[in-house]
Amino acid sequence: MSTLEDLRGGMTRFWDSLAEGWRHLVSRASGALTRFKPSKSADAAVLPEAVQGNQWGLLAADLFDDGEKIVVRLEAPGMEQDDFDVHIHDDALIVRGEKHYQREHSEGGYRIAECAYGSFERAIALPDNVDGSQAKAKYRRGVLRIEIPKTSGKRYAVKIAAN
Amino acid sequence: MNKQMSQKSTTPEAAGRMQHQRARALSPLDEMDRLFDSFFPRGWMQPLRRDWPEWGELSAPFDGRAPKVDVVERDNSVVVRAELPGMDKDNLDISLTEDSVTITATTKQESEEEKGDYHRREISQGSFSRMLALPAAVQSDQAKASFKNGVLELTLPKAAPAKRHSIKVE
Repeated sequence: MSTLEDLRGGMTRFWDSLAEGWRHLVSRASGALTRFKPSKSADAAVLPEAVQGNQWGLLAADLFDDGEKIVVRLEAPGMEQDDFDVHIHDDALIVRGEKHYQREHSEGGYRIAECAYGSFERAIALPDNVDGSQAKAKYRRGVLRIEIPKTSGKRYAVKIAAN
Repeated sequence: MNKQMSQKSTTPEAAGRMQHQRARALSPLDEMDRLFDSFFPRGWMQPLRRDWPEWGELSAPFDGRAPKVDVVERDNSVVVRAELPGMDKDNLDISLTEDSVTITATTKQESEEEKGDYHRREISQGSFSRMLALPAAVQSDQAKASFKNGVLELTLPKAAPAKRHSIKVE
């Protein structure tokens, strides 16, 4: 087999692999990519140019059902508890927040600016009927955890009787 | 020494380094790159790796997840902020040299006890390491670190600035 054919085979597999990876990525993570808008509050005016450009941030979320309740965990580092605004609207959980930029007092020069600041909103579809009035939220170590009890769709084990 | 001179606190080498790691903004595309890095740590390009073993070496630096950082150079110090949500400070390891910092995290404790049917799983688990070149030489033994709300903040005092002399041409 010629080197050229080798190379062609390799490229085909490369693209298959890449396409597969991309599909996987989109299905799994596209929701995590969130736009950060400059906030209207006073600190927006002092955002250095380097930080202003960062309008996209990742707010990665896990959602699981433990039978009794739905638990959502959202990674949002660098916030305070009061910066969040969490709503449950029908079958969607809406998390809004504002990540404040810490103003540099001295002539601070940004050498690397990757973190995004400003206000954001992320909506996450909830899989089951939930009782929003009983929801609880906790912010710890940069992770917001929301627990929402289910009203239906609870799981019960069904025993199969022997003949 | 006049005032202008005393403000120049960086060494010529540090100034050179600064030039090629000037702060830059991330575009959505960079963000997708980062997603790729974090979601496909090892193995997803396996076919390629088998055909071209060199690929493994080439892509090795991109394996694993990298935390986002801000690096700010102040007059007398360098501040490094890294976003490490869900991390316990006991699992963080920070090592410093005069001109670089390496942040290594072992495991995330946060979700260990979580059991249930996952409908969505975007949070990546596992260890990572990131090395950053610092824009100026620092006194690594004087470093201070704090960890609050998932953000690690390192304050690194700059090393005594190299003395600058201007020479007058006569």
